Amino acid sequence: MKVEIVYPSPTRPPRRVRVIACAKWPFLATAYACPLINVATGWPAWSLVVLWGLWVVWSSTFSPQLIGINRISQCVKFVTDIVVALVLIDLLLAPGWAATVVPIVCFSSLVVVAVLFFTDLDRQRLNIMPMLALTVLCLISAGTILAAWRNVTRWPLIVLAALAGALLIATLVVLRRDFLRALRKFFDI
Amino acid sequence: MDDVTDVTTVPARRRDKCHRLTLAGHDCVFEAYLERLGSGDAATVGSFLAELDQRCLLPRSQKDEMRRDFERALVWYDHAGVALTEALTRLAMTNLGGFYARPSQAWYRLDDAAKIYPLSMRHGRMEVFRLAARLTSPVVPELLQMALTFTVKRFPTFATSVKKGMFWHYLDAAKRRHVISPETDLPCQPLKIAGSSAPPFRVAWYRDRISVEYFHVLTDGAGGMVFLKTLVAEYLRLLTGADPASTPDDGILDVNAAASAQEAANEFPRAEKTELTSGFIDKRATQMGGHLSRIKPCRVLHFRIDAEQLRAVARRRNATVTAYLLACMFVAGRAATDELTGEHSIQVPVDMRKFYPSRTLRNFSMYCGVRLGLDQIGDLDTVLPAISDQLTRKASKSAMSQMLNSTLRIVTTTRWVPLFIKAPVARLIYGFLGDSIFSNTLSNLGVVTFPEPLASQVAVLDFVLGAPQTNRASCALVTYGGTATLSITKVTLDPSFEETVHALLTADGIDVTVEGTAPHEG
Repeated sequence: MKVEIVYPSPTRPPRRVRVIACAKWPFLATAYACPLINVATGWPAWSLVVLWGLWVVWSSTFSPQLIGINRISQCVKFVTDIVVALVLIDLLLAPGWAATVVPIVCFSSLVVVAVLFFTDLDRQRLNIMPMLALTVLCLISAGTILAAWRNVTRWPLIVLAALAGALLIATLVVLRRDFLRALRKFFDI
Repeated sequence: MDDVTDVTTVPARRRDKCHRLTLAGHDCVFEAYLERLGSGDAATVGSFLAELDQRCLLPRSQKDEMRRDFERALVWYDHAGVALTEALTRLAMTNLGGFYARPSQAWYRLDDAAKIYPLSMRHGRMEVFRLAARLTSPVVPELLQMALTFTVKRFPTFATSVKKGMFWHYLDAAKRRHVISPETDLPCQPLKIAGSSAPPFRVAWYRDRISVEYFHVLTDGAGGMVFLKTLVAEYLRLLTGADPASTPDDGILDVNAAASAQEAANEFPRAEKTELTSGFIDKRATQMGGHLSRIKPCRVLHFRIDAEQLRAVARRRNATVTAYLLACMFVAGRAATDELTGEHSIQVPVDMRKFYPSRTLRNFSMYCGVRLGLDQIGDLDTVLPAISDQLTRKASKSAMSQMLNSTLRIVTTTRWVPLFIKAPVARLIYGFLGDSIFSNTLSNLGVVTFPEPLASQVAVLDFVLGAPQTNRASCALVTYGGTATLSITKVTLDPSFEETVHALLTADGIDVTVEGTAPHEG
């Protein structure tokens, strides 16, 4: 069977799949080994922090999302990863500071996200859901903690709630109908 | 046209430098062209291009690129000896309509068949298929770029990007300059759709071939063919100036007409409601032998077959062309496996438009599985009756409607499950089952025609399926201009399957010429 070649020779080896195939074994080995070592050495459960760290590195470097990567979603993902890591460290390794630090991280990130959004409004109006999710989550968490928890440094939470509320209102005012359209698209069944 | 080089192959810093040099080079060429024209014509060109400001509200960088697209096309016309007035008529700004002047606001739910595709994709695995037209003359990229710019506005569901919702993915309108690229990769490689307005299709060219590769989320073979034909028709209009008197029945849309709601419709709810529903799960099928290649597909082959001969042979054997080719595939599949027991199963997509006439450009196809025990597979004569019988039963309207209703039921049942739960579950099930209930696929797009004078400029059409997951091959057939092209997508270097198909066809007196890629293992 004689085949006439009518295609160019491929110039680009698909690297990511190969990198994932190579990298997954050390990652899996570490993910299995750490809990075992942790069980053997006993409390504290530092392996959970390691596992989360592995997941963060894996999901942001080797196997990023296939849909919905933009500057806001990446920023929100980064902040979420950091916050979960901080909470885990606080709960498992060095308690007592997360209630102050996490709100500070969150309101700082809200500022960053707001800058990213308002400096490229035309394009980013299509990507508002991650920002909205972060804003609403911040607002609800800050409100709940302020109402329910008395022995906590209050100013970061107040700043966080105020900033989240302001950002939400600003987004609503700027986007108007697009805001509702974004919600409809996102929650459509 | 250097700006359409596949920029992903070049490191970013070098790419920027090359791009700047290219732009500077282009500016020089265009300035020289304007000087050659003389002041009167140069002013005409200037006012022609000034209209772009009114027609295009894309971000500045994209608008500049679009302006350069027009400039390049004008320069090409000049080199080709086309008069300026004729060139300006062919490139008339009215072809842009208001599409690029309006902000993106539309969005589209995925049709019910498309919902699984973004859920099941992974790095390196994506349901992509290709439709390509080989012309009688080399492709002029300058004009192809313009043809794409003019054509894509007619297909608003294509000018989109895939986005994540709470419960389902959706298509969000993305106004951007869609870019053609030279073909430098194996067919049907995964598309990069992660970006904010990344398109779920790509248009590539190589020598005399225009190829469009679609993420299946967007359309099926029938819808994709309408896009390809419209793009080719628009390209040939720009090339020759001849405006074909086509009708929607030709499958070529008027690029300046408004899109209709029917074209964007999800037609699945139109299916007859049936009490019975059919399942998607079946016994695992035997697979052909040979190591799965690391790079998928590792080879694509096109069997160019005389359509009349093929039809005559099928008729002589009392079968349809699809049944005859399925028989060849069963016999070839049997020859390509060392297994002695089990069942060989071939997936056959069925266009639902033949049961429920529709103009939709979205997915509207289902599939059936033709299944034979390995012990039943002998020569063509022994398998053909069983295949014809199964095809008649399983690809019938009632069977397909049952499957359609199953799809609807799954979609309805899972609609309140958030995407972050659905996605890993779907990936798990898809990863576990994958395509293992089938051994192969045969998708027959049927006979495609172009009206004159386009027909004389289109030599042949190709339809290529993306690389399967565990099946060692998948096949697709399209017939155009007296040539039936059977394209085989391979994921193993073992040549037993294609060699047996070739031998069976030639043994039946059918002339086959074979084209394709070189074998590739990375």
